[in-house]
Amino acid sequence: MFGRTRLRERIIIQVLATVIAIPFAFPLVAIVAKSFEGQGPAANYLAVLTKTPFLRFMLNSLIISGGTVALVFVCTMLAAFAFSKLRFRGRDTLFVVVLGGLVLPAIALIVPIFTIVLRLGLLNTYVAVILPLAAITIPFTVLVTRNFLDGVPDEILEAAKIDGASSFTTLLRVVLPLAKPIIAVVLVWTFLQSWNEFFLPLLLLQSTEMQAITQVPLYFTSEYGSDTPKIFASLVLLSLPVVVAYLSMQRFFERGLTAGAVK
Amino acid sequence: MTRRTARLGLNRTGYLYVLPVLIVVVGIVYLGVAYNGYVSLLDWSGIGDGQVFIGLENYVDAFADPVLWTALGHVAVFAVITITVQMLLGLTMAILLSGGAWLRGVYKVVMFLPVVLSPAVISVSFRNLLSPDGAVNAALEAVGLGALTQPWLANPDTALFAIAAINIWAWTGFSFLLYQAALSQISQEHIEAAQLDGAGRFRTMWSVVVPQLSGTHATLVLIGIIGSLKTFELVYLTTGGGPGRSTEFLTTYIYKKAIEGFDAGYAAALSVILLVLSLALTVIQMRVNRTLKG
Amino acid sequence: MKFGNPRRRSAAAITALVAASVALAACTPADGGREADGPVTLDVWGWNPDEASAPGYFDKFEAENPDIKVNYRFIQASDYVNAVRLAATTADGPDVFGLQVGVFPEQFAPLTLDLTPYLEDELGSDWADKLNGSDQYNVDGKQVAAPWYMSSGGFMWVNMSVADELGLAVPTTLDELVAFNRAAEAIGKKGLVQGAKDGFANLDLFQIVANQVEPGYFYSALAGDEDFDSTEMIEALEAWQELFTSGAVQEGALGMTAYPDANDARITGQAAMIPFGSWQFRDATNARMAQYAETYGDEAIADTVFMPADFPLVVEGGTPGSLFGGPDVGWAVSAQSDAKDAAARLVNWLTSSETGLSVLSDALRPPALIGSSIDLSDVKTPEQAAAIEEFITRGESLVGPREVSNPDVKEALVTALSAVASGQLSPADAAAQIQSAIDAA
Repeated sequence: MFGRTRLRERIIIQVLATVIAIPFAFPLVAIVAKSFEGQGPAANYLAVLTKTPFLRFMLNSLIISGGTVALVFVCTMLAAFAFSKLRFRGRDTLFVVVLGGLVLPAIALIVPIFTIVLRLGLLNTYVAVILPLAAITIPFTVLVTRNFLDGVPDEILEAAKIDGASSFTTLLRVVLPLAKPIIAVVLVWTFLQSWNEFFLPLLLLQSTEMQAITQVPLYFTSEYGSDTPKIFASLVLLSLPVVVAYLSMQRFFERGLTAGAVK
Repeated sequence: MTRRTARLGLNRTGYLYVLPVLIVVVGIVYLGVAYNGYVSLLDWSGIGDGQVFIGLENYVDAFADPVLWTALGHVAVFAVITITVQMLLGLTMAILLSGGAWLRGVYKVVMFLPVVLSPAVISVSFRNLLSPDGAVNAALEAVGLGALTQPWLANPDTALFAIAAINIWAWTGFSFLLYQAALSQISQEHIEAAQLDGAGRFRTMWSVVVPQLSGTHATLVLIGIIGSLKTFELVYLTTGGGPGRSTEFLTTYIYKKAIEGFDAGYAAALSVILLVLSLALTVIQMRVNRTLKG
Repeated sequence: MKFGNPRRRSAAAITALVAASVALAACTPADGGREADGPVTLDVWGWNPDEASAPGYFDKFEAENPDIKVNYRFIQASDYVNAVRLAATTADGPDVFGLQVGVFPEQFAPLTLDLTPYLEDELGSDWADKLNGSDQYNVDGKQVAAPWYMSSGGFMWVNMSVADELGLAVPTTLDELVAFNRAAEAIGKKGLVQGAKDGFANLDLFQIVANQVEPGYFYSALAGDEDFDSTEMIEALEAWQELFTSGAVQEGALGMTAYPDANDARITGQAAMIPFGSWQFRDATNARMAQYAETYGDEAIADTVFMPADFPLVVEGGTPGSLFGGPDVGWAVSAQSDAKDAAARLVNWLTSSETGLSVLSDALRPPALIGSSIDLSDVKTPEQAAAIEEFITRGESLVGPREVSNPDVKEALVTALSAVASGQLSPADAAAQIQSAIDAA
C-alpha cells in the first residue's frame, strides 16, 4: 500500500502481525489439542462418527441450512433489488421496517414463534426452523445486499430496459451475475447462522431423528460423567463444514463484504 | 451519498418484490414483538391459563429493579470495550497485512476462524481454558506472568472482562475483514499525494487512510451496539450471569425470569425495553452518522 | 414497451420461486406419533434416565406390555424445562414426561393429568402413604406426578485413592478440611471441590451448613414460620462465606460447574471430595466404576473406592449429620395425551411394578415406594455397603425437602449465596434480601 517496503520494515510488520495473531491461534490450537486427549484422536473422532447419530443429524442440518439459504437468497435478492433500484412509495419506510428485524435475538421470541409455528401446523417439520431462521437472517442480508447494489451503476440497467427487458429479467440476467460477490456473502453468512443454531431445532423439532448437528456434543454427557475430549472432538467436527464453506468462498466473500457494508 | 434510482416504470412491481421479505420478517419478528407486548401487560407464569391483566405494572417494576440497571451497565461496559478493541485490532492487523508480510493467507484464516465457530463451541471451550488450571493460566505462567493467574470467570472483578475478552477473540476477525476490504479500495493517488507532500508513513495513515474508512467505522459501531445488546449464549454458557449478578446481561436476566422464574409477563416487559433501547440507539447512531457526513 | 405481460410473468415467477424454496424444505418425515391400529406408541421425555440407561427401563416395560411401544427422548437437564414447557401444550408433545420437585409441580400443574384415580387403582386408597414424597407432587389436591425414586443430600463423597495417597483421614472439622485441602494442593490436586457456578450445588451445600447451625430451621424460615433474617441464618451465611475465604472450598469454585467440571475432577482423581448425595450411590458399584474407566480413558479409575461420608462440621458447636431430600424424579402424564391409559400404565410400572423397581434397585436408586430395597450385591467393598445402608436408614428421617418451591425465593437464595461467596454481599444484607423475597411470595 505504501509502495515497496524495505526488508527491515517487512520483518517488523511480520513480528507485529504474529504477536497479534498468536492469542487468536492459541485457543484454536487448545481446542484441537483437547480433542486429542483421553483415548486419543483416532478413538475420539471415530466415536463421534459411530456412537452418535452424527451423519443423520448432519443430514438434518444440511436440509435446514439448505432450506434457509434458499429462502433467504430468494427473498433477499428480490427485496434488495427493489430497495436499491426500483421506485415506489414508502420504500424507505419499508426498508427500515425490514431492518427492525435485526435487533432481537430469536430466543427472546421463542414463545410467539412456537405458537405461530403450532397454529400453522408446522411443528416438528423442517420449515418450523427454517422460517424463524430466515426471519432473523434476512435483515442483515438485505442491508448489505442493498448497499452493494447501490454501487452498481444505473446505466447498465437503463441499457437493459432499452432492450425491452422487464424488471425481473433485468434482475435475473444483468444484476445477479454482477452481484456474485455479495451473493457469496449472503450464502455463507446464512449457512453459518443456520448451521450453528442450537435452540430453534431443539425446541421446534420434537422427534429425536430430526435433531440438528448442534445436539451431537450432548451425547457425550451422561450419568457416567462427561467425556470432555470427545465433546471437543464433536465440536471440531461440527465446525468443519462451516470452515470449509468459508475457505472455499473466501475470495468472493471478501470482495462482497466490502461493497456491501462500507457505505 | 445520494442514490440515483433507475426508473423501470413499474411502480407497483416494487411492492411485489419486497412482499416475501415483509411476510417473513413481519410475520415472525413483528408478530412476535406484538405478542411479547401483549404478554408484558399480564401477570402470567407462561404456562396454562391464569393470565391477569395488570397494565403497565411490569414496566414500573422493571424500571425500579436494580438488576435491570446493573445489567444495562454491564452491557454498556462490554459494548465499549469490545467495540473499540475489536476495531483497533482489526484495523491494525489489516494495515499490517497490507504492508507486505509473508504468509498473509494463514493470518487471514487464523483471524477469521473464530467468527465461524458457534457460541456454544466457544463458551464450552473457554470455560475450560479460563479455569484456574486451564490453558490460559498455564500460558501466563509459562511466560513468567504467573502473578496474573486468576480464576477468571469465578472472580466477580474479572469475570465481565474475561467475557469481553472472549468476545474480542470471537469477533475481531469480522472487523479485520471489513477493514481489509475497505483498505484495498483506497485510491493509491491519495496516498501518493500525501507522501509527495512529505508526510511520513504514520501521518499518512492517520490523516489520509483512517478518515477514508469512516464508512467501515460507522458500520462496525452500529453492528457492535446491536450485537452487544443481543449477546446471550456467550454469557449464559460461561458464567450464567454470575457470580452473583456480576456478569448479568439484560438477555440473561430475561431468560432467567422467563424460564427459571416462570414470570412470563415480566420477562416480556424486559424484552420490550430491550427492543426499544436497540431501536433508539440505532436511530441515534444513524442520525449521528448523517450529521458527521455533513 | 410491454408492461402487462412482463408484470404478470414477474409476479408468477416470484411466487413460484418462493413457493418452491419453501416447499423444498417442507418435507416432513412421519413424526414418532401414534398409529391408528396396532400398538400404542408413547412419547416419553426426560432428563433422567440418560440415553444409555433408558433401554434398561423401557425395553423391560415393552416386554411386559407388548401392546405399548415407548419412544424415549433424552433432553439434557439444562434445556429440559425449556423444551417440555413448550411441547406439553400441544397434542404432539410427550405423553409422559419427567418432572422435578420444587418449583415445577405447581408451575406445570395445568399441563398434567391428575394421577389420583390411576394410583388409587394400582395401590389402593392409601397410595399417598405408600409413595414417599407424593405430597411434594400434590398441588391443591391434584396429583401432578408420581414420585419415582428418592434422593437425599447432606453428605459427601470421598475419592479414597486420593485420601490414601495423602495418608490422611477423611476430615471431620473445618480445620481438618482446610489442612486436607492444603495437603492435596501441595501434590497438585484438590481437596474438596464445589461446583459453585451452579445454583443447585450451592443450595445443597448451604443446606448442609444451615442444618449444622440448627437442624430444620432453614425449612421453617422458608415456610415463613421462622425469620430468615435471624441470628441463626446470618450465622449460617457467615459460615457459608467462610467456606470460600478459608480455603475449605477450592479456588475458582464459582467458575466451575458441578457437572461436568467438579464431577470430572473427583472421578479422575484430581480432587478428593465433593458434596453430592445419595444420587451417586452407584459410584460404589463395580459396574459404574468400569463405566467411568471407559469414559475417561483411564483403567486405574476402575479401582477407585468412593466412600460416602458425613460432611465436616464447619459450624462451631453445631449439629452435623442432618439429611434433606425428596423425590429426585417424578413422572407426569400430559393432559394433552391421546393415550392416557397407556401413559398411566407406564407411570405405574415405573413407580411400583416389581420389574420396574428391580431396575431401580440395580441402579442403587431407592424407590419412592415404601418398603423397597436396593441391590448392594455389586458394591465394591463391604465398608461402602455398610456406609450406604447407614445413609439409607438415616434418609428415612429427612429434616426437610431439598428443593425450594417458590421461584422468586429460589432466585433470591441462589443469587445471594453466590454474591456472599464472592464477597459482594454481606451475610446480614443477604439474610434481609432473602427475607423480603419470602415475605413477597
